[in-house]
Amino acid sequence: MNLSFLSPLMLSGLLLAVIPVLIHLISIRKAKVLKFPETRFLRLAVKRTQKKLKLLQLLLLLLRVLAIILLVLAFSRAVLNPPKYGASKKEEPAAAVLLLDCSYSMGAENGGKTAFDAAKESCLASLKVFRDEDRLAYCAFAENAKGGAGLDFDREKLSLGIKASKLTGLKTSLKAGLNFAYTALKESRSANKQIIIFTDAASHALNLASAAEIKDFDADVKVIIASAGIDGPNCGLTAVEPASSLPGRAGFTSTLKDFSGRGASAADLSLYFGGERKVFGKADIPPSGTSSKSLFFSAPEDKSLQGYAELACGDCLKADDRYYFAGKVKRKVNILLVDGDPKLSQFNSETFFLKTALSPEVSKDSGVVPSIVSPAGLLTLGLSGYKAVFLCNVEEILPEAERRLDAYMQSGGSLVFFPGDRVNIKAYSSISRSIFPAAIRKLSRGENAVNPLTALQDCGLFKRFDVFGLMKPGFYGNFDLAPAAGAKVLLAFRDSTPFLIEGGATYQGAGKVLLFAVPADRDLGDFPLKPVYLPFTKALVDYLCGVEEVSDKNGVKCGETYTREASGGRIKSATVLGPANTALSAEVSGGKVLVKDTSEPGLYKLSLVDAGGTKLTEYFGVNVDASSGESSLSRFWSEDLKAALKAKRVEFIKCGPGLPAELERIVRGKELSSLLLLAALVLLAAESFAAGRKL
Amino acid sequence: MQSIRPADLTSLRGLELKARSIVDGFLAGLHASPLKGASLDFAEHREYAAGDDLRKLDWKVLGSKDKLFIRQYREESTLTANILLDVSGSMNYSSPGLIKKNEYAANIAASLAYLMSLQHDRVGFLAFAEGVLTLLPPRAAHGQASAVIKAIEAQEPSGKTAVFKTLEAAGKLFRRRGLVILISDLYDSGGPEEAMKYLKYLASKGNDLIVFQVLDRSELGLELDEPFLFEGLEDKDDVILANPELIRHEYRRVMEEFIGYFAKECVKNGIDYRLLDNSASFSLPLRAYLARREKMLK
Repeated sequence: MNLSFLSPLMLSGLLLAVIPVLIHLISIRKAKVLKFPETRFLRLAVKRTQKKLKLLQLLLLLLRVLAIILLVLAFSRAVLNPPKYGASKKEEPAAAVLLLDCSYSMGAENGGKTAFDAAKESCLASLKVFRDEDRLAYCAFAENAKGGAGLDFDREKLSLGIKASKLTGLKTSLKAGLNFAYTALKESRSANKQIIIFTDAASHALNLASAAEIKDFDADVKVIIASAGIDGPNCGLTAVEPASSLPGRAGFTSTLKDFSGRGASAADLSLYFGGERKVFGKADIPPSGTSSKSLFFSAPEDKSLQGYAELACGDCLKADDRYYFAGKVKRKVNILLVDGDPKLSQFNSETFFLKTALSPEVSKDSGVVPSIVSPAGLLTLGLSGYKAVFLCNVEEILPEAERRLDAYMQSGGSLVFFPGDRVNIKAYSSISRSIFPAAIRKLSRGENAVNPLTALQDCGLFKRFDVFGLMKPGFYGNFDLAPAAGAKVLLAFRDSTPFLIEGGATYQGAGKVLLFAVPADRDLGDFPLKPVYLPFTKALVDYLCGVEEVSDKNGVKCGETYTREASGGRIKSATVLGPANTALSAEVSGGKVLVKDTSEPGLYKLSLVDAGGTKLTEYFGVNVDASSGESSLSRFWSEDLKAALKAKRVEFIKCGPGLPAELERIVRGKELSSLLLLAALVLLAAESFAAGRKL
Repeated sequence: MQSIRPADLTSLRGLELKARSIVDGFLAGLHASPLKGASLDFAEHREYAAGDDLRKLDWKVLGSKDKLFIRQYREESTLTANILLDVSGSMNYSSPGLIKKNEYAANIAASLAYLMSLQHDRVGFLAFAEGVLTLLPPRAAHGQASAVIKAIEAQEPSGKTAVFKTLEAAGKLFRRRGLVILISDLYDSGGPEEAMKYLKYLASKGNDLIVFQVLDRSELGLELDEPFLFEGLEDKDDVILANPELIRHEYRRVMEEFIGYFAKECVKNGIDYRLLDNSASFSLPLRAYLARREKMLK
């Protein structure tokens, strides 16, 4: 039997034991002189009481010193340990599973040291608590528990395993760790089993409805939570979305969230590409709230971009301050406007409003370059340089023009028809439905307006602007269109006549064709004068041209499987490089590539070779799931775990220098504090009684 | 007039004034005057007989009734009293708020002297410590009380107590039998037995003895609440460290033994013994004296 102490520093209090002795000595030396008439009776009284007095004083001194020693030992939390196994064979070997939480919240820092570092140190230190005869197992866990082995005597192997553990971007799942631990302990026959979890005890990690969810659960196993949690402010990025931007410009809207209720003001938000900070701004985050911040910058068009947004607000958890994404920048778009009713004054021209909307004077870099030609231009102009051709009030489409437009569409170009007063209805009825997918019946007069509820839900056009804005324009006439087979009405008037028709795809890879029932100018309504006209036109161009945006939509959260579907054909091979340029496995299954090892946040590089031998390289971002609750840094407590797990003994201790002693107490020692405290109180009571006793 | 308490004496100046105040206050508190002496106490008339002193003839009765009657008085005797006052160093002590033992004793002695003078008793005074320091032989002369009081007033407490030596000396000095009043704390350097031995010796010579043992309250109970290095008032080298709280019980027992010894032995030997602490009323010793005097004169 020997004693160990959970708070050994308190042992310095043993020096206090000399206080009663000092007081005794000082009281002798510093007694006041009192002149007294006769000392002989005092002397006689002292003589008669001397023996008893000395005994009493000795007893009092002893009681006081002993009481102080016992109090100090009690506060030092003395633990009575049974003899080492070698000395006594009575105690059987223990079995323990050490679980190290490597979720991203363990990256919370305090004074330059992360919770993970502290937990790892404590985990290594805990090995010394166990004797050679004890069997141990170790596993790092987060959402899953991987790489753990069964119970073993080999401390060196365990030590190496612990040292090799790294932080991940995953969330914590206690269930995953406990499943491993109970299964590992099942093979041991020891009556002294424990699971020691080095974790920040993230509250959301307690994802247990009941102990029944744990495989091989054993209520007799002691569950010890070695808490490494760090309290502090935390804000993070929960999403980065592409902002509505123009071609040649990259724009991102970051969603910032405060998790700790403290908020942040004027936090730095930056966008990094290729390791270089491209743009930055300041953002305020309300306490326990969210805010968003959009940042824009010029980027070479059609260029692939991969980078990350970073928030710097001095919080304690950095893992959720960075958000990775990859994508492309929009290209500039050339649009050809064919004006069937040109006028000397451009204000009166059929294409005036359209041109103004596509390239507003105030925007020098709208990303759209409109060119205006007369219908004759259709016969001479090379169309391949244009992403779309808008035909406005063109009287008729000549056969040569029709042929050229057909070829243009096949090559991916898009057409938009705006009818007008100069349109020859008969001539239009004879052209190919692949170019003009409707028949114009007549020009109807009468007030009309768009019914936004008729908007085709899955049409990409309406996802780019608020379709209800189209209720405002008023029309006093429209062309009555009869959609051709395969064409679909994207939007209709209140009287159900089509407002906008889209032709069916005639060829694979062909461009789109759209038919409006109203002219491009103000001839039959005030649509061009309404505010909605500008965003509608911009959305129309985006929809037609199919321009790519820088986006993270193809990214995943840590732990999720990234899936890349081939656009056509099969994939021959695929390789993946992780954030640290480590080669990761990629499963190729038919036309899909699956990347499952996404535990680390960052940019992943995916290289594909399709069946035709074409090589393609892509990036995708993998980010921590800041919305999961992991970032909140809130904790569960002993009682929560007891309630969820129904284990007979659940202990909470803190990671740090005192952990081995605490652990020793729990694993095999008996803390004597309460006993010592009681004994000290008894001694003090005895001292009071003795001191008050009359001799 | 109320009897004067020891604490009230601080406002008075001069021992004689204090003694008068004490005695006047004491007398005023009595229902009848206890003063009796020569030619003062008329007892009865008796018919004149041949040989009677004509000066005792009651002329008023002769004038009114034409008969010769002699005025008879009670026994006419004056008392010789000696006051022995201890002025040793141990008397120079008091607890906080009380008057010193020597002052208390001086007031008793002075009051007694004054009272005695009122009764025309012969008053003698002897101050002592290790030996006799001052001696005023007993006289009934006018002004004797004042002389005694002045002698009392002149005493400064110092030196050791040697009651037995004083009593031995007194036995030789007092030629007439009378009343001997000893005012002392009785801390005799020879021990209580030695002091008692000479008290008996004095009594055996036909003296009546009254012993007033004057002690301070804290001497009796040792009511001190912290450890002290006690230094003897009569001998500075006599020191002892003691914690009153721890020895109080035993000390009281020792003191009870000491006081009890005197009380018991005095009773046994017909000596009037009174224990006085320095907060006790002055009427106590005066009453004791008067009682004893009356007893003596019967």
